[in-house]
Amino acid sequence: SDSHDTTLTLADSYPPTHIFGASGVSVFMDELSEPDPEGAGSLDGSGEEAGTVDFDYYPAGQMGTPRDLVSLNRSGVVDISPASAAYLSDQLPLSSVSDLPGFVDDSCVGADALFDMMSPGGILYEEEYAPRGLRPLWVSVLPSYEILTVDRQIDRPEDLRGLNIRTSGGALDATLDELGASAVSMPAADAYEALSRKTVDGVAFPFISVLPYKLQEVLRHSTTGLNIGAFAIPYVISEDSWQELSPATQERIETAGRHAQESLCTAVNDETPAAIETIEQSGVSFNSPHGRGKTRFDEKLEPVRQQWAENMDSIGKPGTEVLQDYEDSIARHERAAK
Amino acid sequence: MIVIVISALLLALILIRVPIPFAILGAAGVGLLWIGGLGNLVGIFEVIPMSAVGSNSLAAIPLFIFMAHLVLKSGVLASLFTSASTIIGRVRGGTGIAAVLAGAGFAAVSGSSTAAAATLAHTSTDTMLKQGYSRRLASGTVASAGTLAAMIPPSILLVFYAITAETSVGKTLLAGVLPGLLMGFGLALTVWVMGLRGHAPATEATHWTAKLKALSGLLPVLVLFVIVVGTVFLGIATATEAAALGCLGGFLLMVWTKTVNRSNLRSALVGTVSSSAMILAIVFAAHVFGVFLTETRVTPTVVDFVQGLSIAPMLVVIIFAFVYLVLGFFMDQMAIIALTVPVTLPVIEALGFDPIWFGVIVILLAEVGLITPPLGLNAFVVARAANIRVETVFLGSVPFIIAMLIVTALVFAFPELALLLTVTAN
Amino acid sequence: MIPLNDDVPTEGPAPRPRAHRRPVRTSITAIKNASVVLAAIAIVAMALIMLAESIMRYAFSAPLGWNVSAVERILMPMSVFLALPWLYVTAGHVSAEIIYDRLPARWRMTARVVGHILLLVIAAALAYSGLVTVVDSFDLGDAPPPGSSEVPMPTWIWQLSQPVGTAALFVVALLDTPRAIGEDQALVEDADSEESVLAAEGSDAAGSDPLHEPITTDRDDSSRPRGDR
Ligand code: NA
Ligand code: NA
Repeated sequence: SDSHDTTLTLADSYPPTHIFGASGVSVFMDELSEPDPEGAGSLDGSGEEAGTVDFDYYPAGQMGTPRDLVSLNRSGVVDISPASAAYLSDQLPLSSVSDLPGFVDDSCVGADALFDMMSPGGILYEEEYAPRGLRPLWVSVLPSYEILTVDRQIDRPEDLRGLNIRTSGGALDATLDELGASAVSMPAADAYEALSRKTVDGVAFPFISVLPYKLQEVLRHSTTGLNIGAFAIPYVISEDSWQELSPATQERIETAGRHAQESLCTAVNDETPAAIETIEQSGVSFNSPHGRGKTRFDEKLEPVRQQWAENMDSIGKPGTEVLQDYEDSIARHERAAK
Repeated sequence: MIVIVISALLLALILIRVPIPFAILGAAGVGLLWIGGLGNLVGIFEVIPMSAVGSNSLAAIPLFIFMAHLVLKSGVLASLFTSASTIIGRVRGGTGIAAVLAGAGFAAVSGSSTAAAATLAHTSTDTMLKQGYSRRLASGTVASAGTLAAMIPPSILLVFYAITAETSVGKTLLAGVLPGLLMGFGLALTVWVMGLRGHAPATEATHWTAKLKALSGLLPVLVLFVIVVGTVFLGIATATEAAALGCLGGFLLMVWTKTVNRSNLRSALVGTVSSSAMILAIVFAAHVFGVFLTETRVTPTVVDFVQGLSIAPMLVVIIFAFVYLVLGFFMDQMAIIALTVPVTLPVIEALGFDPIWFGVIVILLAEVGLITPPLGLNAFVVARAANIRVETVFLGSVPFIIAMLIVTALVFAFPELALLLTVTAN
Repeated sequence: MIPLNDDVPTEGPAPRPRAHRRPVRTSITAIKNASVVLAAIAIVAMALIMLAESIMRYAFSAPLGWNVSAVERILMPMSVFLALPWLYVTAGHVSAEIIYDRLPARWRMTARVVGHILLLVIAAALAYSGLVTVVDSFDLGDAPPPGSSEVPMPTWIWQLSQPVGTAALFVVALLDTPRAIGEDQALVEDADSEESVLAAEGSDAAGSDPLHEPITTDRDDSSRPRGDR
């Protein structure tokens, strides 16, 4: 049998030690660089065996910014890269549905729900990824964004008035705007300096993302239980590269992508409590808005999703439909998880 | 292998006078074709040039250049040298020292060594020659005083280094303050020592009221410097915002000196576009070259190689320093940073050194090349402006080169000189 | 050219530029002037926007939000790519004259031809690549959605800088070909002056030409020898 060994170029903007690298990319690459354990290809009658896949791996933004990487993927320079709606709002506006407030606390539920919509037949795939020649292989969701601040504990939306809060961009900007804060977009790597210089007053971050940037050293307060948004990052292969692969190799890659997604969401879920503990130990006080404060937050956050859908509808994109699909998909996967 | 061939091609293109950005793009283009074919080349041309210049931090470069042009048009720099002479008063080698002081003043509002050298040559060389300075000493003083502009903020080279090295632009600019002042002191001391040996006469004493009046002439430049550097130091503004503030300051100076008119504004803008577009064209070309280097994986290879060597980390820095000194003799300072830092910096960081400190060293050394043969641009500019043979300028620069190397050695030995302000900054 | 061995390093009589025919000259001048004006507008706009942002943030605690995307995506690319034709016409060569000047005439000719073709090829490649992204973004309808903090402008519009600037550069350089590969190396504008030295000196050109009268944008027609060849 003729075994086809393939080489794919994978570029992202995270160091290999980052959770997206350690629990996602490396799981994916390791599985594919091993010979196919089941020899699946040789048995399926195609006469072709799925060979191993080798990778040219360019982590840590070596090939460019997150936006560059998607463009480089589409223009054929790399084969696989992340493509997150958070920094591609002009290209993947509907996919930012994942970043709206209050959807999920469980990374696995969020990832599975989103991946259905990003797979062939799913509305996000058909509306946004397929027209751009991109095919998601796995997706990671960092759920439960909270507001972490330097000077002021946040108990009600009114406490946010006049504060500059760093975000990663996308739908979260509109959410913070609704809450009365000013969203400031900047790379996460700049957040430490911006916080210590008080150029920004706080950040909107999932707990798990605080530690890699050592933000716990400069932060003093944090909300819990608000879940003002999330961050979703699909790793996508370009359709051109995909079509050059043998069906057997495609199947291996799909399987490896599923495994990467599982491993990644499990890691996110497992590491979050430890992250919270570390943050607390470095002197950050947690506050879960309750009573009147909580009600005020709910009043503010409630219309954000609807507003998002209306904005999308107004430019002729199926916002309402996408929102409904995501809610349904989450409900389905939550039932399955129980 | 491929890196060596492409670097040779780059050098050849520069030697046959292809403009630097196009020489870099041409060499990188051949390399990208070699590695990944036409798709690789076009794909990277689609993405990288736009993205490379699309940076908020990089916007500090055109804005600092604009600020310098506005200040220049306001005319407040014209009296820098005479004011400095008055303030210095009776000192051996006073006129040369005044030229250095004027160079520092120019440096405080301009990021360009060569422009500084050209201006100083016009205003101060004649005076020195009349007082019996040798052509060598007069021109050497002026050519080297110009290099202060690349170290004392604002400095285009430091901004560019910061962006290439992904260090904070504001902190990197602050790191230039003390080495820049030390360098100014070193150059002034050199003139004084030459004066002791009878090469530079003492100047006349001046009355303190005259000194005070002269000081007020320097005030606008000082105020602007304090605003720009102070806002960065206090963390009130990013480097880009400080540069925009500097533009406002420059414009207000023009209003103050009643020099706001169509012709001045147009001239300032045209000069800004020319300088900034050339620099940014080198920036995006260098980014394309950087992607080529990434695809060759030369950087991790070099890092592994150097880490595998059993030599002292400090020796590695010394070897790099020597390479930068030599490169400075032959290459544009901007291009040196763009083409080498992506490879050398990861090594330096892997060895545990501070990237901002390294940047200060690199720029101090690259600047030496501005006053050495064969391509010392400052020397050529001074030669032309002051009507002196360029060999004379090169010879006259020798004592100052020694001073610059001593200052570099000091910054090398005491990294605090570069890092103190970056640590104390808010 | 920077003389290394001349006793008196001032410029001699500038070599007479090889004049272009009138329509060619007019076209080059028009593109060049449009180039510098648009780039200058971009730089002034950046200064004003950054100032406005600082003021809004500190005085009113209400940052603009869209300033970063305006500077990064629209104004910076404008200030560089649209300035390329201007740069081509006005900037001199400074690097490594010493080697070039020592080459035999035939080699110098070859070097000029190779250099000029390379410049044309690269300009064309940049223009083509830029056009591909513009067409692509246009076809897909990429634009920031309502409620985004980005400047509400279709993506393809801000992507125009690269193809427009480099295509204009290509046209200017193509029109300039007879002069560019000719023996006399006079620039279209100034034959030889610090102005070209300073403008071309990439690393350090800030605050250039303190020595010179403004490079006015309407001077060239009068300063360049008229008459066709
Ligand atoms: Na691809
Ligand atoms: Na300076």
